[in-house]
Amino acid sequence: MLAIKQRSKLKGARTAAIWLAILPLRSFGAAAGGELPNGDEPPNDLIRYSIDELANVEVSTPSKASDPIRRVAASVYVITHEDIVRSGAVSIPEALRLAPNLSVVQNSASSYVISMRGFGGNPDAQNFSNKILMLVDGRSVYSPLFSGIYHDAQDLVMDDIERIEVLSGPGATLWGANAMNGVINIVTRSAYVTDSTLLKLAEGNVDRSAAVRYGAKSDSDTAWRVYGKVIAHSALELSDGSNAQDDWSRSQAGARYDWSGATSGATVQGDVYRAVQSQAGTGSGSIAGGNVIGRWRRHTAGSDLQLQAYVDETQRAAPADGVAFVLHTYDVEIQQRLAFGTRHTFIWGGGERINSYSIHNSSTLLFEPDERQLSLGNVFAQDNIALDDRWTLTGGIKFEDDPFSGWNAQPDLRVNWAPSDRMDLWASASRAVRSPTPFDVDVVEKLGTMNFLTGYSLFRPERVSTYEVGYRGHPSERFSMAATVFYSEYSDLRTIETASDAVFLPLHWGNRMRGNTYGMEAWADWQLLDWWRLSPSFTLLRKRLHYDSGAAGLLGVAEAGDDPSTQAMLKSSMDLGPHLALDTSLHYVSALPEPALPSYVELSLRIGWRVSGHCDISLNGSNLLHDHHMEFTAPTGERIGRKAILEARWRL
Amino acid sequence: MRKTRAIERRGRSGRAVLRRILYCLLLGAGAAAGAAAAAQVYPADAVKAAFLYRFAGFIAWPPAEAGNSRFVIATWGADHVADELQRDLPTLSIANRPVELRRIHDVRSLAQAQLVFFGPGHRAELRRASAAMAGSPVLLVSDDEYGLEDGSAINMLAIERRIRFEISMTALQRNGLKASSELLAHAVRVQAPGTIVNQLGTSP
Repeated sequence: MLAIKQRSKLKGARTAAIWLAILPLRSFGAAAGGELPNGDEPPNDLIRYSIDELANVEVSTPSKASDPIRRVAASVYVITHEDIVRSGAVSIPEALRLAPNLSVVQNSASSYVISMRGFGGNPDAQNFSNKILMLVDGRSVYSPLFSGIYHDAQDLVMDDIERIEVLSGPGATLWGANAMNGVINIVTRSAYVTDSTLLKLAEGNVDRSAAVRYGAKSDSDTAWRVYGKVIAHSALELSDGSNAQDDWSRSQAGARYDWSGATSGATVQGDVYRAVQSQAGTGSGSIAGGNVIGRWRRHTAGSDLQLQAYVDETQRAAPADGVAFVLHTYDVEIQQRLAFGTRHTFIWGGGERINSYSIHNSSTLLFEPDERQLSLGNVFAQDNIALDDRWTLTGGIKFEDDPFSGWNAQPDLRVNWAPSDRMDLWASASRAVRSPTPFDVDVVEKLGTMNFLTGYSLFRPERVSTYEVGYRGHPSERFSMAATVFYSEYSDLRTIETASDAVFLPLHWGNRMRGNTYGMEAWADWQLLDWWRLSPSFTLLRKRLHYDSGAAGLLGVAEAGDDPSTQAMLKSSMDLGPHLALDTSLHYVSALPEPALPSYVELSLRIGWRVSGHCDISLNGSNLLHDHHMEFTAPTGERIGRKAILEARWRL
Repeated sequence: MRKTRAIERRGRSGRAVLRRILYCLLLGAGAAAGAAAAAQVYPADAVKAAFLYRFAGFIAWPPAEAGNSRFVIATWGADHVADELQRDLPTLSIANRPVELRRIHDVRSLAQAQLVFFGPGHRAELRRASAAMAGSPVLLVSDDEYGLEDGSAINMLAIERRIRFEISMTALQRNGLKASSELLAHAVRVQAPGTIVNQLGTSP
């Protein structure tokens, strides 16, 4: 304990030293800031510019206070394109570290656990982070087999991401089941915006990557792009310092086509990918997949209609005696937004999804049956009513028919009050479920020839009711902030039950845990000077879970998730003149309770240099304060060391 | 006069080069080549104000009604853009009329304006304005990802550190306005995909 305290003092001293190294730059930057916006040219020059000249004028980064998301009556954090580029993140999980309302835990070179408001799971209990949904351009990447997200199967050219919206709290009315604790919505850029050639090369001590994208506008109505990306990740270290032999590499290619007429538009896009992952002592596993999605929209006065359909294939092959599967997903959705008069915005929609899979069982972990075709249907409606200039009421409900538990209703009610143009106060009450999956119902885990744990044919959906109160405001053009307090009641959470009171084995899944969580999420954005932005944030989480009477109570309530109670982050973004950007981020994650892991503080720093309008070079260092830290306990967790990566980017 | 300004500028850029060399040394980036050719960077609000003025020039306006000799630009929730425009106001004219700037906060004030600019996040206001002003020769301009969906005719977008814009022909027609082909040629036609903002709607 003493040793930990001394170490954290040291951490503090080092942090201070790095800030001191940065501080002298302030004075230079201030001078540079003075010359930038209003200095050299008298302001009336700009007003005489032609439309063409104006379209090519470079502007300083707009303040986040003007982000439209600030008026949504929910706890939503937006990672912008600019944030992603300036963070130097090479993968989606690393970019997700920018959202204060997410907990991102790296366990191995390829495995991340990403959760919101707790419930990150516990690998010993075969419990995974299964209460958040993730969408990539409208395509769900939540695995219907085990409930959870394979983060190693998702990648993009980071420069082609427009924004990542991270909604904490239930989002089930619009996005469907499993959005119990939140939704991650990744939106890539329209092909109109990426009508250029991009070449990116990155070389680092842990990651190396190359990406190329070519895009063009065929005429004023159509644009397209194609891209390819390869990335290789070195192995991490085990807790004893030995090589974890889990290096992996991944390649992906894709294309997007956008057409936009006067009142309608369409998008067709798709990707294919393949990755090979080493595993210590057992050879290597592989993942592969592909998807095609088509979207058609029609905007007319008072109506937006959208039709969407996609096909997705996901394959995993485990080394040696592991479970492998092939999953095909077919999805169609319709959605229409209607404006009734000047007060109502009504959205309705529905969809049908078919998941068809075939599993290659291992000798110790089996799915019975090993093939199924599951269909999942839904209908929903939501009305947004402007009661007067200040009050808005939003109510909606989704009915979802899942193959194991039948129809579930997921309602949502939100009220927003804007006492002034600079401030919104909102409150919400919503319910959501996590639907049962084959992993909850069909699984059989063997111990030798004996059944050790089996699925439960009567497994019920896990349920949550959440109540939230939020504030969102921008007291000045340079300062904006958001804060949300939440209280959630969970029931029917998954537990491990014994065969009967008298007989222990085989164990089976049950729904015998309940309880509540409460906490707070807050973040702010402070444009201190034209060239310097500070973004502090923190989250607090308390969980009070207990077993129902009659539950076996095996493994303890910690099986639901080993989650940090506090996370805090301070980001600083400096524009040191038009050619130099300096971004730093200091990140604190409190100790994990059970199994216990000490808290950690880490720092990342990126220097970006714009060599010319076509070329940027950046140097990015992360986890700079310590030789290594761990984000989850061994043996699941591995050591994460200092990272440095040099990246060059050409845009033509 | 012009010459002096050019010399001043050169002096400043000389100092700027020095400063940049210092950064590079300090940060160990160690390359001063980037210091040459410093691109001019403007505040986004000033560029948006200039765009507003330019847009008006590319629209064929019906002749001024008797008794209204001024061209009225109104802003709703965009004070910083209004401040930028205010500075240049005395020198401007649109369709041979002097320009007047008003900052408005209600639908009733819309009727006297020829061009209305809505700041980001004012989606419900824009929707109400669009419904109320259908058929009137008013150009609605927005600065919000979903501007066109909410009924504006021209929407500004920040793309790659530049301000670009998209145009809705439907909205232009709804207000009986015609844009010149030059304006259309410079538009980036970007439609907003399904996002959380889109889905949850916004407050009034």
